[in-house]
Amino acid sequence: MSDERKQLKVGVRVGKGVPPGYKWNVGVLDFAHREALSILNNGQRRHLALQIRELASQDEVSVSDTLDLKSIGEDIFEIRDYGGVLGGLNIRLFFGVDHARRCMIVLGIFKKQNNGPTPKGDLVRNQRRWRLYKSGEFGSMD
Amino acid sequence: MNTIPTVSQITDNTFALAVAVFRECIASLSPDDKQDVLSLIPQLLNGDDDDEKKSAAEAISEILHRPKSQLVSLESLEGCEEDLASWTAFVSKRIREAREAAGLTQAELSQQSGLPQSHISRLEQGKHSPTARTLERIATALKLPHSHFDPSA
Repeated sequence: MSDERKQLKVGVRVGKGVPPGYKWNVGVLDFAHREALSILNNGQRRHLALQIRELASQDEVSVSDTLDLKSIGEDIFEIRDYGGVLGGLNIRLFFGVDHARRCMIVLGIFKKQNNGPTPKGDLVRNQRRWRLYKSGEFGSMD
Repeated sequence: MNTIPTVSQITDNTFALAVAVFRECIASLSPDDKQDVLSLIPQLLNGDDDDEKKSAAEAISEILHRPKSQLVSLESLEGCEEDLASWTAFVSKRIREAREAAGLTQAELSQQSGLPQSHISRLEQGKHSPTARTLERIATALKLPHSHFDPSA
């Protein structure tokens, strides 16, 4: 296995964390990691990470009382958030749900300057990343 | 005797060359990627706004350049607790004071807002950072403007 496809050794794992523990594993594509570093400060990244941890603590990650969450394709979801620590940024975070591995994969993090529809290019890009993840292109959390 | 090409001819040739290179790149893509690129060309050329065009251009660039990626941990993404401290301290105080001023218990606010009581408790303790959706629900339940809890709203 090449460096680009190495397995993830650490992270949010099922059963870890404050009891009763996380219900889902979480992995982040470094695409999303790089995007977050380029558009968000430390506090803003912390805020988004807390939302992912919160979701990973739930039995079902496709619905949420606390997040603006919607499906954009089979097993792919978009979280929208703005204001608060995000200030004027309108953030779109995309993740896929790998039911077989009980795993959430953060695919991409983008910003918009308004609360309008998500541009088609962003949707296509994340749907493609999810397709590549499922084909094993980015490794797995096994 | 060689003829010097006009600006118009150079522009035409450059455009034709760019189209030829683009066609060559597309031809080497997988069927799924090819379909993605073709579906984005209308947005690239006729997108409603700059966001649409920029998004289409970046998506096509990612498909054509095929950058490598890998999985990293969530911990590598997040900063430390102190990075959020001033915001969570501010908003937790606002929520608790507004709930108490309305004469509600956490359980009653939970019922009226549709948020889990445990979530409200964690927000009031400054252990979690609320999303815009959460603050909207709390603001509606307490009959206050969203901006009461988030000055940037």
